[in-house]
Amino acid sequence: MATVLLAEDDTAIAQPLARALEREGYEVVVRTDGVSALQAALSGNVDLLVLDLGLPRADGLEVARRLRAAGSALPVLMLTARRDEVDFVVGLDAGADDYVGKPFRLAELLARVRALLRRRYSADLAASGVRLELASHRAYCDGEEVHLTNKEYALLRLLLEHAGDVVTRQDAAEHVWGDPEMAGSKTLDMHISWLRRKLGDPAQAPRKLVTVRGVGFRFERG
Amino acid sequence: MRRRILVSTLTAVLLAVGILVVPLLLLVHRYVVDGGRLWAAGLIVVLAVVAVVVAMVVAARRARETVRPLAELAADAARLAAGDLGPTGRRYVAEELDDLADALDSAAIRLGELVRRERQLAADVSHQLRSRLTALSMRLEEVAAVADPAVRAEAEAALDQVDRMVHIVDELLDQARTERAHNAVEIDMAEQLSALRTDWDDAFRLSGRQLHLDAPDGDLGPGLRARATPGHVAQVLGVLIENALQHGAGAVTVAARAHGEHVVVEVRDEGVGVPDPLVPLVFDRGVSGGDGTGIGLSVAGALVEADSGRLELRSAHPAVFAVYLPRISAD
Repeated sequence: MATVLLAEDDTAIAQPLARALEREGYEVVVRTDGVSALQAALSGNVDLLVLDLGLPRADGLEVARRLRAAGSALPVLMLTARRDEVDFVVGLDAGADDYVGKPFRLAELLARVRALLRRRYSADLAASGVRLELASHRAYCDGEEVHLTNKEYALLRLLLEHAGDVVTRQDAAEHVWGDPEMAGSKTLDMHISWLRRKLGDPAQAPRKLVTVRGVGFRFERG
Repeated sequence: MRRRILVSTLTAVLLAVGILVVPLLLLVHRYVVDGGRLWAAGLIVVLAVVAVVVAMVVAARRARETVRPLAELAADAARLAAGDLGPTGRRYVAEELDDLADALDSAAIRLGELVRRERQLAADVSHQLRSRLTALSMRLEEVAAVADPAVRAEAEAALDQVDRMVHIVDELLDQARTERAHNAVEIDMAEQLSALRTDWDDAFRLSGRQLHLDAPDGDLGPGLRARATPGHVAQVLGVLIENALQHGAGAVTVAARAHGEHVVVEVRDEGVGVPDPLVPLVFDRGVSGGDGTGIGLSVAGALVEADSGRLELRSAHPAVFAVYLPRISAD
């Protein structure tokens, strides 16, 4: 079974979180400062790092940067009480793969842990000549790098994760904007059309990113 | 101000010359013989005109000298009002002007310190509340996982309350952020960067080092634009450049680029970077800068955060600092 390294200095959070992870069947290793967390992460004996941002001795961002600088591809799920959008960007730039703001629901955190572990053993997301390199946050279309905004990237990732299946407008609105109200807005349609343009998919007769009338969108497996 | 000095000088000189010339002309009229009268009167008038012209030239020069420090102080005060919180350290010969410059400098330092403390408090409150709410909600979820339906219902109800509290905390912090950033306007990053050239050329020439600026325009259409308080950006970049000049080595590069919905400005040098033990402390108060000439990295970080941005040490070796600011996108 997978081993999860939990780097969290607040025992009131570390204890129940470790219990929850153990209930899911993971082996859990807890570290309470940045330096020892980095050592454990580099030991090669763990499959995933759940990394709190506010660690003593070296904060979470610094741990992620040093981990990546050391060439490690260990999946990192960052936990933080700073939930502004810019904090997400800074966290991903530092090398985190995903990000959960405090407080969170356990179900959400566990789902992300599962997704990251699944991804660790699967290739990058790809369909119809479009490939997302998740670790580096880059997108490629027919081998050429495509520059996407954060929202476009998140939307494309969601579509690729469900390649071949319909992603409803509600799902897209919730995942990408965190706001179900966006399902009815033009913003979603604009992002879809920007994605099509960047991926060279003709808007009149799209072959990759298809609109499913009245439901949502589907990214063809191709 | 300058005009007023000129007008008052002119009035005084004209009065003085008038007081001298009128009696002189009367004396000439009374005592000089017919032949020399016109000649003597002409000489007096010419001398009077020369005296007025010389006085005006001297007055104009003095007026310029008197007004220059005042104009500088006014500009400093305007910069302070616009959010540029760096003390200038400017001093003059006149005591009154030095007092004024002192007052402006200490106001700048105190404002910077206030911004830093306010940011620190907001961050602490947010961190503490969210951490405690996380611990609470996880324990409630454990309770909710037990079989007894009545207990589960109670725990779920308590979790709803936690969610509402989280929502309130978010709203309060959002509100505080909006108020903090009320001075933010659209800022053209290319302009900001080229202004650095003017501000820092002398310092770089003196130290024999080079400043490279890198602002992409081509593929960004009308240019790279951020939302920030005027003065903050120049101020923060100034702190980072000064830091690179003082503690780094080699050329200093300032590069701005679009990064999703943010603008990232990186300041790097070619030195060995930040010593490892110092890395977790660079943004702590009193660790860097703040020696009276600059505001220090801790206040610089607070200024960026006040504009909903972040200041990060992206790499320790070599030192690369990154300023994140909200981007105004062209689409």
